Amino acid sequence: MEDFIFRAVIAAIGISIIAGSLGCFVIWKRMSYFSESISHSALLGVAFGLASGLGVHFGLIIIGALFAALIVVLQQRKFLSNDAILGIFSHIALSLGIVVLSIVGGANTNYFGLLFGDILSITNTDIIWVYVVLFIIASLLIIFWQRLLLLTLNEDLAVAQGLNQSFYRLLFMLMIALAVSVSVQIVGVLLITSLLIIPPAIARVFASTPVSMVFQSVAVSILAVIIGLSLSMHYDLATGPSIVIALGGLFILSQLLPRKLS
Amino acid sequence: MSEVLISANNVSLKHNTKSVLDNVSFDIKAGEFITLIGPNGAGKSSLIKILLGLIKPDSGSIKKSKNIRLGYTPQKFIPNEFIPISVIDFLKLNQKTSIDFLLKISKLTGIEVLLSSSLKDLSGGEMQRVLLARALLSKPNILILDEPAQNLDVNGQMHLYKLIQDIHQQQECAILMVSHDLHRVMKESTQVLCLYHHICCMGQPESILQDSSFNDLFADQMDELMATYEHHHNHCHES
Repeated sequence: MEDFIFRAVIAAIGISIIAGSLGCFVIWKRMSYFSESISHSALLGVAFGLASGLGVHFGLIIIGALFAALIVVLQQRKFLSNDAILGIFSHIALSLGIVVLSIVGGANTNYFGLLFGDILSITNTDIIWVYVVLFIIASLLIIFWQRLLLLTLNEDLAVAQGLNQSFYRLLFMLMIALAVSVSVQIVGVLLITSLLIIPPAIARVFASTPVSMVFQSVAVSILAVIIGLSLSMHYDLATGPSIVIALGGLFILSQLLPRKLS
Repeated sequence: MSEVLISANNVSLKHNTKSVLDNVSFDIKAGEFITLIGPNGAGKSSLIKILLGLIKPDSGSIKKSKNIRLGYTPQKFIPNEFIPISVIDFLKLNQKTSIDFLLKISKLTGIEVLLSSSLKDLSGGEMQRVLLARALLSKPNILILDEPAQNLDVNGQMHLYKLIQDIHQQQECAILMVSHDLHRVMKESTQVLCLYHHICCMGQPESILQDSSFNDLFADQMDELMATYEHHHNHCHES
């Protein structure tokens, strides 16, 4: 196997585990549009990382977390509906990202790669980032699993038991920002959300417990990413769309199967 | 003197400019059974939420005893329907409990047959009993129940109230219950708290019945209530 293919597969598997598990919470909390808005801020994150010299990954995490915090503050003021706030931020983020990147990124910025993913761009450093983020998110999910799940199931019950809602909301946003920061290169800014929501949506058909849904979602995600990467390399297609098409195929298959919803 | 488990001190809450709660103060002591009554929009659920710490009052404070172990069943419980979770996993979620105790509580609340069901498939009455079981698993010394009998038919209501009464007596647990059902209120409570933004009156059920502000507030229901009451004392229906 050629080096870059090997790196792409290793990175993609790590990202699948991150997005597949975290994605269950995105689906349960109905936050797919929220994660969409955060991922749209990723272009600005790349630009910020380049301009500030902090590097792309730090830039992505900082801008992602900042946007998430801003959205939550606006949501709590309650003068606009959530979907309006998310819609506004999503497009501001994307436009700002493109404009700022065109200023700081120079002429040879690979917009197509950023928007739709580019496996050729994955370096060994990127792989280290993926697995560091994987370690952080897996640890957080394991440590806070019961509390996050109870909060997702019913906030009132959880708060009455003494859980600090704001802390866990912040924690969850930070996890989304981290997940987005490592997924950009594989699937691209515009398609990250599909990696977060399609695998758990498929797993939902088969899972009978929250834990099994997470594992099935991760398995589905790895399968789809490998199919997508193969398609992309074999036919020289854009990586992100290839993966999403693989996910889409599996999703349609899952919906055609006789279901035992529990 | 029994220990004070929770006390509300001069709690006030405004919603925009409208006063929802105005200078509400009261204590809940160990072993008491307090029923909170009041018309719709009187601020009952807001008061419960403030006691639980779900919302902050604009002024005033809540003091909780260090020994408090609080169980709570919310008024509207809509479990997140996208999470596949069974009743037993829901009961165990984020609380430590032995399987023996879980089975004991399931038996008490009559939910043994539901344990492997999916949480979102429960009926209203089943859900109330599951919530009660979950609250009891934390071995509470105070239970806060926000309209536990709503959406239940008469039979279901009777069973649930009987269960709550048993819990109060057997588990030595204080109870604060929001209820609209004046018949039951009068029968089981040790204290009745009548709320209409402020505390209109508070006391033992018998003394509340005499209170003029209570009678003003529940004028419509009072005729019916008094009729039932007299029924106990006078079995002569024809005059």
